[in-house]
Amino acid sequence: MGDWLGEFEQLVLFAVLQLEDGAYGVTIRQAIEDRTGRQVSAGAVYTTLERLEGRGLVLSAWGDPTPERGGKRKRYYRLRPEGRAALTRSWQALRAMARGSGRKLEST
Amino acid sequence: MSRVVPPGPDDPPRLALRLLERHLDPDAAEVITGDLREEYRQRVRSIGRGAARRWFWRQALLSLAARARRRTTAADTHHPGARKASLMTGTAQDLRFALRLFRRAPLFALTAAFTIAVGVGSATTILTAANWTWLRPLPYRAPAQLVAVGETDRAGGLATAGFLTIQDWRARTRSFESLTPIRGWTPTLAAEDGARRLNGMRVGWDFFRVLGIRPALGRDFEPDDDHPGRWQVVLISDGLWRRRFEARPDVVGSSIEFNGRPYRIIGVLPAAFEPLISERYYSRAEVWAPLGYGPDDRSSCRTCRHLRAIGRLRDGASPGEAEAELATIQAGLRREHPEDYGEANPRVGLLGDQITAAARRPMGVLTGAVAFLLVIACANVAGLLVARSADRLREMVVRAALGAGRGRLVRQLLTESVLLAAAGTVLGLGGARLALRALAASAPAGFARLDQATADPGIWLIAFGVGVLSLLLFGLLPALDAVRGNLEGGLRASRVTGGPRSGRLREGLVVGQVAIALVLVIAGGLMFRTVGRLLAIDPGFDARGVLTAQFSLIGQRWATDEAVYAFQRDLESRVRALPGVDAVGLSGILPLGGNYDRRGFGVEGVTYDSPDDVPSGDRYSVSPGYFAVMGLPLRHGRLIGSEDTPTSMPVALVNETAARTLWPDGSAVGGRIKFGTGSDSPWVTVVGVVGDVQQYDLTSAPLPQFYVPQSQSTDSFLALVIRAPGALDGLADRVRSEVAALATDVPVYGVARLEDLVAASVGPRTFLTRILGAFGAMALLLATVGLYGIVAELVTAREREIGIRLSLGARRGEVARLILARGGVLVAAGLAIGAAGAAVASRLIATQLYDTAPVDPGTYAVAAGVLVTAAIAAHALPLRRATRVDPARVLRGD
Repeated sequence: MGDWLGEFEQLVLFAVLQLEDGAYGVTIRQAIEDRTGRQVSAGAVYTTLERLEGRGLVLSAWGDPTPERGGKRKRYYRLRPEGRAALTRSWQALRAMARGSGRKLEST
Repeated sequence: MSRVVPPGPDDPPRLALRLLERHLDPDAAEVITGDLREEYRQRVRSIGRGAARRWFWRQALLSLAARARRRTTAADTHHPGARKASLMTGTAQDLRFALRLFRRAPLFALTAAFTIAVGVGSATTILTAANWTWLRPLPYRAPAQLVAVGETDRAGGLATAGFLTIQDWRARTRSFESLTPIRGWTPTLAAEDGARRLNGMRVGWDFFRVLGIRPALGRDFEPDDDHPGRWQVVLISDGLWRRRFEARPDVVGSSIEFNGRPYRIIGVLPAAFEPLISERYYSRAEVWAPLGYGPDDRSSCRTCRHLRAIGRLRDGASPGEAEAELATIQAGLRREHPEDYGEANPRVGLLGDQITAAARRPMGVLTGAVAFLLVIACANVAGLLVARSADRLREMVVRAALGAGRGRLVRQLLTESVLLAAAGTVLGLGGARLALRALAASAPAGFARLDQATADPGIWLIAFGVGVLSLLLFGLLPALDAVRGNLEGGLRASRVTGGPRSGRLREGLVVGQVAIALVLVIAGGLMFRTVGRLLAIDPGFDARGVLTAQFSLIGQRWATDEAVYAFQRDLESRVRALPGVDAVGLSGILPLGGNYDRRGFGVEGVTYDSPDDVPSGDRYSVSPGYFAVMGLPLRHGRLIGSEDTPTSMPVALVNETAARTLWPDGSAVGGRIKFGTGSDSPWVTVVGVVGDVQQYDLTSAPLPQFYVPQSQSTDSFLALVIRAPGALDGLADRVRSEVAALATDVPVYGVARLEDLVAASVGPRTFLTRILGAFGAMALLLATVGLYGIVAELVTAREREIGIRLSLGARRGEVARLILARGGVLVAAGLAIGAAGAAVASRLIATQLYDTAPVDPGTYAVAAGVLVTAAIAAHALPLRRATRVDPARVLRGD
């Protein structure tokens, strides 16, 4: 099972992928909220990223502390090749399964 | 007092931040709080501070929950904080279990938290209020040594004294370290936007030294200031300094004009100084000047009893000893000035007692009442938890069987208790803050420091302690008992019930609740009846549609009677011309207006042996219009009219009490009196008799009352009475501008409807009634909830039996009777105990009652009726369920 991703993990990885160099807690959270309309907590995002990092799918690095963060540092995230591969696989699997379902889903 | 820096708009809620920082591992805390702070700032700008704060709280709590849910990964075990983390997850797990439990039984959790909130909230409110208005020592140096000293009034109370008397006491006593005279003072401050009347005091030069208060700015009074002609120096309050002088330090040494004369400001009192003495005896003072009396001044005489004395006892001297010594001194004074002193000896009372006198009794009653309420609340929580514990037993047993240690289970129960107590306490403290604010807003006179009675961390802590303790006592102990006793038994039973023991305990609790609720409802009812009886008393005048406004004519410009009289007539005619005004009158004092003008008087042909025997009465110096406005009935003779001028024969009206007691043969009209005991005052002829009015309060027997024409005896302090039914709104402002149009140095104050003055005269009782009423209502609610709980339980426990009965042909009515019988016994027992308890407890409020017996059958019956109604309401839902039991389903064994 190891490399399959949970739904929320997929959302987070898509956000990291698209934000490129600007992926950290705030932007990732907002990207998910903006695109899906789903309320997510900063703690959930962080916990997920921590887990993904533990599985070797993302890399992280400390940024500089800023005053508007109360002197706290940002933590930036990037996809590792393994993460990109896992995301691709999950996405392809989803697309393969979804094929032909569009009309049926929309008609309900 | 520590200064709290108000949080800036860019700071998220501090408590939420602290929660995050405490409960997250350092890395997570840094990233998550940083992210949330950053986004919070954006949100403050986009959705506003309030919404942003709510967002932040939500994020913080969800984030904590997300972290708690996180599976412990292998990496964590190598973390140096691993042990701490596992302990943390333990607590997190407890919390999660607790929250899940509350979610499963939300009604239980809500009721328990609400009950604790009611108990904690009302206890905190009353204890805080009692602490500030009653228990707390005065905010002065060594307050236990501070005393009030005065001669004794007819009722035996500590009263006023003349200047020379106080001087002699001071010179001859050894019990006092110092003794200083005080009096009220209300100078007029002229200003561009209209004259203001300031509340102040005239005091002996050492007044602030006696209290141990030093000016924050400038200097204190010196002995040299306290002389006739040199006393025009003032100390001002911090509030006045900030309001009028923008807190400029150079105000010291500058001049201020009172009553048209210059005074020098010599200092500013500290912001923390509380003018409690002025508040008790006069009005909350903002300006102080030396007394400045000389021995030969007209106001200095021994019978000019208008001063009070504040003293500090010497170390080791008691008020009793001081009083004994003053009695000896007074005996000497009596020998030296036999015509000036009566038989009574001076009195010495602790200043603290004097200041808190009005609040003590009501606060004592309320403290007792809140203790009752707290007992009900605890009983309610106990009842709830005992009921729960039966339910919980099964869960505990299962968990124990699956290997959870006893300690683990205890911790779980503890967590639940603390969580419930915390929720209830937070809710209760919030309620207490609101309640205290409401209390301060509705506090009657005499509850001196209630406006400051807010945060009192010590009391909060006690309240929280009580909350937790009640939960532990009633929640944890039964649960523990269950866990210990009944491990396998619990697993086998298909439905675990609390067993007969906990059932009886709960029934006992409900009986107690009903009893206590009845006591509180009766207490509220007795007070309610008292206030109703008081307000039904005819005060002797018609208060409806009358506005009153006071003003003072002080200063050089008003030195002559002609000037004062002319102003009065102009003002009356201008106000009479205002729209909606039916009639206008003037009087020196107002009934129930908080002021009085009491004079000793003589009756022609009567002599008195002792100064004690000289009668005194209330003197009203009025304009002809006064009687029509107040609706005073004329009994004999004529009223005062325009024919009574400064040069015509001096006349007076008397009230019925005076006519009856002074001229028992009915010859009042035509009789003659004189005010004061001096032989130089003129004889005044009585030309009419009018009805009595209640001057001081609604219940005291009226004194002799005299009405003299303003034209023959002008006053500097006057009250305007205006009858304008239907036109009272906005009238005050129009009256103010009429006064301002006539003179810029005449302040208007004390504007009030006469009806409000009547209501305010029963203010302390209304205050007590409202709070007791609220307590009664809460007690009723709690008892109803408790009763509902036990009846609902009864129905559940006997569902099977009911089903069987129904299937055997019992009618639904019989089933209802079955349930009602059990509940009815409990309620009846509670009512009987409660009525007996109320008969004892109501003696505590007997002094507050008026025309209402402590065991008033009507009130008791109504209160019992209210409780029975509540009990029926509590039975309604469970009964409905009981009568709808489906026998088939029950017999199938669900």
